[in-house]
Amino acid sequence: MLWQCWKIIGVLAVLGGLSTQGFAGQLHVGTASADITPQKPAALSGQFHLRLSTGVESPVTVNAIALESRDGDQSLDQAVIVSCDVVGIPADVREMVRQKLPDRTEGLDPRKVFLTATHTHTAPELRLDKWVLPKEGVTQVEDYREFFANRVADAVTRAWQARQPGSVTWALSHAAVANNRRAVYANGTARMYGATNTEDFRGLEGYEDHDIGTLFFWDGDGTLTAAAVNVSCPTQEVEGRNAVNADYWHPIRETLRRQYGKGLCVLGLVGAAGDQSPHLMIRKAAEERMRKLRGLDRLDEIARRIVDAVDDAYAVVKDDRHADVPFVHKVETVQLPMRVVTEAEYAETKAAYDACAAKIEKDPAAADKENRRMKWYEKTLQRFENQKTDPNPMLETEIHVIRIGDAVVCTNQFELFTDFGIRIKGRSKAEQTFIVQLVGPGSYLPSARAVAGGHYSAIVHSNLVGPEGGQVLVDKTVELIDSIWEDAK
Amino acid sequence: MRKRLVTPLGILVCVALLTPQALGGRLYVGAAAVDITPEKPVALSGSFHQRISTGVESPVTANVVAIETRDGDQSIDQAVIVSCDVVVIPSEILESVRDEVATRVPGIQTSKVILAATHSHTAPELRPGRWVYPDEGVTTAEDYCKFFVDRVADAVVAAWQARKEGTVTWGLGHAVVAQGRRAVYADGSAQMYGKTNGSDFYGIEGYEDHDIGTMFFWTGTDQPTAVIVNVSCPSQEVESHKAVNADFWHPVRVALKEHFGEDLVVLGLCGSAGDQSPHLMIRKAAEERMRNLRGLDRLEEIARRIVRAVDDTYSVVKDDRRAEVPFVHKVETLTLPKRLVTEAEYTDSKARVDSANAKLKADPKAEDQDIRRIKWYRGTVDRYERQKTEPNPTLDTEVHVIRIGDAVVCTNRFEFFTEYGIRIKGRSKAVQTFVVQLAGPGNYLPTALAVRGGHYSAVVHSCLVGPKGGQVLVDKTVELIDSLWPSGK
Repeated sequence: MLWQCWKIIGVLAVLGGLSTQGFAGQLHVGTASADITPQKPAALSGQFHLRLSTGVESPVTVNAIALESRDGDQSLDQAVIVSCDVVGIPADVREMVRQKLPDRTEGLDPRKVFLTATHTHTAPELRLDKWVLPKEGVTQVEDYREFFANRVADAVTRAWQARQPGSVTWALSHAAVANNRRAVYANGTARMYGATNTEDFRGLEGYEDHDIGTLFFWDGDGTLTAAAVNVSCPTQEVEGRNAVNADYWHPIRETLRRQYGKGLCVLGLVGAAGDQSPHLMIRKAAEERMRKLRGLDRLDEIARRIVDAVDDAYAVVKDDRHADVPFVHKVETVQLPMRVVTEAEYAETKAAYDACAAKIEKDPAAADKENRRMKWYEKTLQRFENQKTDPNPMLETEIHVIRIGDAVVCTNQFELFTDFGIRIKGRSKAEQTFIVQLVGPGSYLPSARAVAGGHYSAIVHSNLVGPEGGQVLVDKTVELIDSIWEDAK
Repeated sequence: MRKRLVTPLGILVCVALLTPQALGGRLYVGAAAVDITPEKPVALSGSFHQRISTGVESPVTANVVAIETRDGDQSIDQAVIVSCDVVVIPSEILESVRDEVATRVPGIQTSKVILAATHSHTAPELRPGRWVYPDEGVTTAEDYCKFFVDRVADAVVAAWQARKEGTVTWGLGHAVVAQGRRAVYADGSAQMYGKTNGSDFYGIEGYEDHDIGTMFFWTGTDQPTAVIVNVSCPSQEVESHKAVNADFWHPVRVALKEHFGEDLVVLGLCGSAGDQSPHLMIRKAAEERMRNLRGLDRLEEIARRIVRAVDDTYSVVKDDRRAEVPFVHKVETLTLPKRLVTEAEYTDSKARVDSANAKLKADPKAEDQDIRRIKWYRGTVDRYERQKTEPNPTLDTEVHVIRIGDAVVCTNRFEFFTEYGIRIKGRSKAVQTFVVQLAGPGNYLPTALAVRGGHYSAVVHSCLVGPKGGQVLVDKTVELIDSLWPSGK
């Protein structure tokens, strides 16, 4: 009986919530940034071999924006978006941050805080047990996680506490930054960063999304306080380096702050780009000639394009600000069917794993290079074993869908192939759709054509979830967008 | 101005490395433009239904650059490139122009005169016999062809006679103009301009090439004399209009003339874009909001993007002019395997022809609207009939490959799906590669993926040549480029 009463109260609460969801409220905005550069050398994340940082080429930072809509004193909804210069956001690190919040952020639901990675491959490792590190003179991963979580929680707190009535607008412009990195060949195979100058080259596997979506936020005085810039390209131009580097987001931030004020908080949000990269694939010589004539390095050149797009967009939308906007933030945990490891894949993986083990046995120093790869294979082997008792495994994953005015921001944890982002954008009811990937630990989510082509990023070790799960993710995301627009009718 | 003149040592190095063909010569350039707008109403070309023009929204023009290299008084090589605001260049028209030019200026190698169509769908018909004309008040296709040939020959002669010592450079910029226009669905089918907001929408079929390749020519003044602008998108934004309109090339020309002088000759060259269009496919609402906020119409918005890319490129390359460049122009007639009509395709086409004929019999007035479609299907029926005696039909087609300095311009007659252009660009030894489609009578050349997806532009009626022939065209083009770079990249 008591349970039934709770159910009724729950339904009433949901209905009450829904009835106001679509209404506009006065937008409140707060921002904060924090430096997350380690003081000592750290293991850098993003490659299969161990790299200990040899210095700092540019600071890595986190940039937070706190949003709340209010009807008088009543909070209608809220969101805190944190862009982090890291390769991925492990789920346990996200929880560490959320657990640190309640004491300091009154009224903020920690579930409405999400962290997203810019995917720089020259930032400290956040995942435990990836590397065997020297015990001395190096930042241990456990310590860096704690440092990171504290800095992020601090930034979230400051952003939340700083919120005040503000306004927002959204804009679309373009920049050719993303390059589809999967070359396709005559025999139907594909290869990440494959050669494009061979006779059997047949093209690039998929679409490139050159949208630059920007959300601009102003405070009550009309000062531009934040720009969330959505680029469907991961930040990994200098991924091969051994120093800490925020990649192209650093020159973007520097330039935008010079132009719009040093207090500007710049959030880099990576769109659906699992098959994309800033590395040039075709037309390299022409691009390089232009870059040299401009006298820029690659990071500056990429930043130039993005900044140019942001400037162009700003000039158009700066007078179309909205203080009272529909603002709804839905957080859901969705279940996605995982990609099933086949028997053939298991056998192949076992052989590859054994070969790594043999290398290390022969030369223990090889562990630095082989350790990560072995763990990669080990996970596939474990998945196959798990399938014996759970033949249809599911992955639980958190997604956020936030309506801000006529725009929508929707997140996922993956390195989501661009095709999936295009599906969402094509079907979205929003005037403008921002897809944000890597709001979580990552893992490539390839399209069916990529799986057919194979190679890194589309093989079973790279994917917890396959094309089938990707479509479920698209459908669920679109369903949530639809529901917000339906509620508002 | 910095001119890169070849030093004696440079000459020795060049002689050692290159065959005589690739040797540089002193560049001579001439340019001219001519109005090809008809005075009276005409049938507009590019739709399946008849449209008689009701007026002139913008003038259609032909724009010419004549290039020659000389060693002293001796002509080394030459090219005349003509961009025409028409939907295609029928072979007979090309030959007529060449014949006319030959009678007026014996010095021109008329095989080296190239005509390329911008693919405006609001320009006069150049293919007689396609429409049923009113008895009076209209310029027929036959009459317009004479006018066109005369005017274009005038411009070619004017450009040729105007040539004088000049300089050239090339540059790469970017603009999001082309939109992949083939939507793909869950069942593997594709549709040109198909819906993108259904639950079965799976993405855009192919790649979008957002390169804006430009080649600037000077003849002594500070302002450029001519600019070639290579955009991988046909100019058919206002294709449904019933007035003469040069589409987005008109505002591009107007803006560039404002920037660089009224005498600037602007050649719009369409890159490989059989599967592309300027029509918005996804993100329509966001694009339209931005456009409305700018207060521009669609043509102006497209032009704004192209002009921005050209301006930006110009600012980078304007001081990297070359007076002596390797200049080689190869013209070849390739033999491509044709796409075979299957028995099922024949049966289907035959049924459609029979059905249309029955409709015409019942209502002869239907001819105005249905004549083109009937001819379309009849063409397929005829092809199948011919296959009985010629089971491996081939198509002879002219291609041009022109090395200009470190850049190459390569042409084909088709509506060449973008992926083929990417194959050429990926394999090209040139620093920058300009692919020019529609230097001839057109006809879609789809990829294998597109043929599997079906629909207009990839069905047998749309294509004389299929993916197999497309690859032969790519291979032969690359082979020709290779031959112009004997010492490698």
